[in-house]
Amino acid sequence: MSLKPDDAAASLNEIAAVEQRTRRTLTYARSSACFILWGAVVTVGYVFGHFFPLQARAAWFVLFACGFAGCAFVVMRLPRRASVGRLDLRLVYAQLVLYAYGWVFVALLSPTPRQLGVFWPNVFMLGIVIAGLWLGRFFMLCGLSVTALSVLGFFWAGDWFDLWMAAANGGGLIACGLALRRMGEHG
Amino acid sequence: MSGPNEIIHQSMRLKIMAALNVLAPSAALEFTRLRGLVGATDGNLGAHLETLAEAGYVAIEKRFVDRKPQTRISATATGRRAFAEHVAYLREIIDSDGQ
Repeated sequence: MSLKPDDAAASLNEIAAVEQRTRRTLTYARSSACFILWGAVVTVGYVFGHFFPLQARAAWFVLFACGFAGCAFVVMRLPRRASVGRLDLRLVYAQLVLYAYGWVFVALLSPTPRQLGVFWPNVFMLGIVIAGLWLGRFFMLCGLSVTALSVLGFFWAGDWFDLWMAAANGGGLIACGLALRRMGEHG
Repeated sequence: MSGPNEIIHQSMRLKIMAALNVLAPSAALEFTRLRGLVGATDGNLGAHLETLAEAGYVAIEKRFVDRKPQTRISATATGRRAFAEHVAYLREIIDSDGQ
């Protein structure tokens, strides 16, 4: 059997398409755990902030530390299934970079607690949207949806802002994580 | 120029090997995930995996997870080598056509 150049090119294109799909699927599956973890962390944070506003600031420090540590644990615990394992700790480092830059803006702008409540999720959503340029459109959709909902809540949620954010940001991240897991399982 | 690998060149088997080749050497894909990636039916995928396993290109592991049967497939070292050689052959055809 001998092949024509067109057949060879078609086969190589087929290979490239499957490789890309496989990497994307594994990336989705790998990222889903972090989405769900952060979703749970911020849900707890906003609900706690609604009922105990005076202790909210201290609680957020503890919760952020738990989120970073938990995400690092999840990422390192997952089996290195593929070359997309390169994502691993860089995913956590990227979050730490965003967090550090976030603090620079907080120090410069001195936002109100309500502004802070919408600022932090959007710092991380910015990271997710940018990551989506490489990892897949679904990441962009997740980031943009949570951003839109959090901005809506900032202007119109009134006294229910924290609970709105618990649902929009926390619930949104959990929903995105579950969707990513499903997409990762079914290719 | 060597010839094409007759086993791997078939379209579905080429996709299967391409998906498995992305994984780390000791890693495996679950049957259902692989089925989604290559766009095959259960029967079709099973038949092609059998062909690849007979050639020694893939390893099929069956086990129980939470009392549910799970089939995991990985590319063997022989399979990865054969796939790499086949891809090199395909590139050679295109390169020689351009000269």
